[in-house]
Amino acid sequence: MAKLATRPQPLPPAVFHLLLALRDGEQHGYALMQRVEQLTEGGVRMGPGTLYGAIKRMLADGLIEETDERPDPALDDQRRRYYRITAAGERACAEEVQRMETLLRNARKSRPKLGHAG
Amino acid sequence: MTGERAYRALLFLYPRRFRREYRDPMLQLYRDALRDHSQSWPRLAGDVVMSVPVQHKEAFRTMSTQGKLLTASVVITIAIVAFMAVGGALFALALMLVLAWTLARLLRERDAQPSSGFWWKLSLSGVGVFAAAVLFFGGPWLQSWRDEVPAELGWWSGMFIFCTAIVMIIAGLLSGVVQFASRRRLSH
Repeated sequence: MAKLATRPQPLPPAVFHLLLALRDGEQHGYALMQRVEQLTEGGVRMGPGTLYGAIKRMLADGLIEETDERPDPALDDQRRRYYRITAAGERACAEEVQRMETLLRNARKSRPKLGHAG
Repeated sequence: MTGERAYRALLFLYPRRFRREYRDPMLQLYRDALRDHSQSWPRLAGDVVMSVPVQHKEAFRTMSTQGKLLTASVVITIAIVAFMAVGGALFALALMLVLAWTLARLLRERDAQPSSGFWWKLSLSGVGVFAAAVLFFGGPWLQSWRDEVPAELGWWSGMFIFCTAIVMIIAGLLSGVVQFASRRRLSH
């Protein structure tokens, strides 16, 4: 946990995608998978192994936490596990966005045509 | 349903702890994905193939020193025998060196803490396995049983047992050397 706070490093893509998806609110595994696909416009389709591998790591790093609350218990399967982003997760996500923005800004400065293909 | 059974079987490839924790949600996700046609079976199977090594690597990283040594020994022994089958003794020798290097590296990790009697227990077990194999394969009293076993099978099982014994001895002795060295370092 402290490692991320003291020494910001690039987040693995799967972790970053999941943090972005969880900024919309707590979600279960399948909803997360769909949200990531939406966010990346179909570019990233996570399978269960990749998804839960990343979730396990994020739980261990304190970036997300499991929650017992259900958005609508009547409509939902009680066996599903819901996750929500923590303050550390929000911070890590913001740092990653910042890092990417800097990178993109510098990339565009050095090659003005980048990002304006076609 | 057959697909789900096959997927369930594939989940056995994950490390036990990961499986215990995430098997049910993964199965649920598998059902959801197939129901909505958001992912195909080959894609889901491909995901297992891609994520299993990652989880094993992670499990290995968090193992105790003893667990790491034994796992590395067993995996590399299997690789040595497999290489002997396809590539000959030179490859096997190269793998032996990889093994020695891997074990030494594991034992040099900052948090490596092999328990005090571990090295001699492992070495002695290796010697025991070696002696048992010599008696079994070389002794006259099991001749009739050996004659019934196909020569090929006998040779390979013999090789596997001998390699295991040698690897156990090497791992044990290396463990001892590292322990001795770290004790000396602490006392100075």
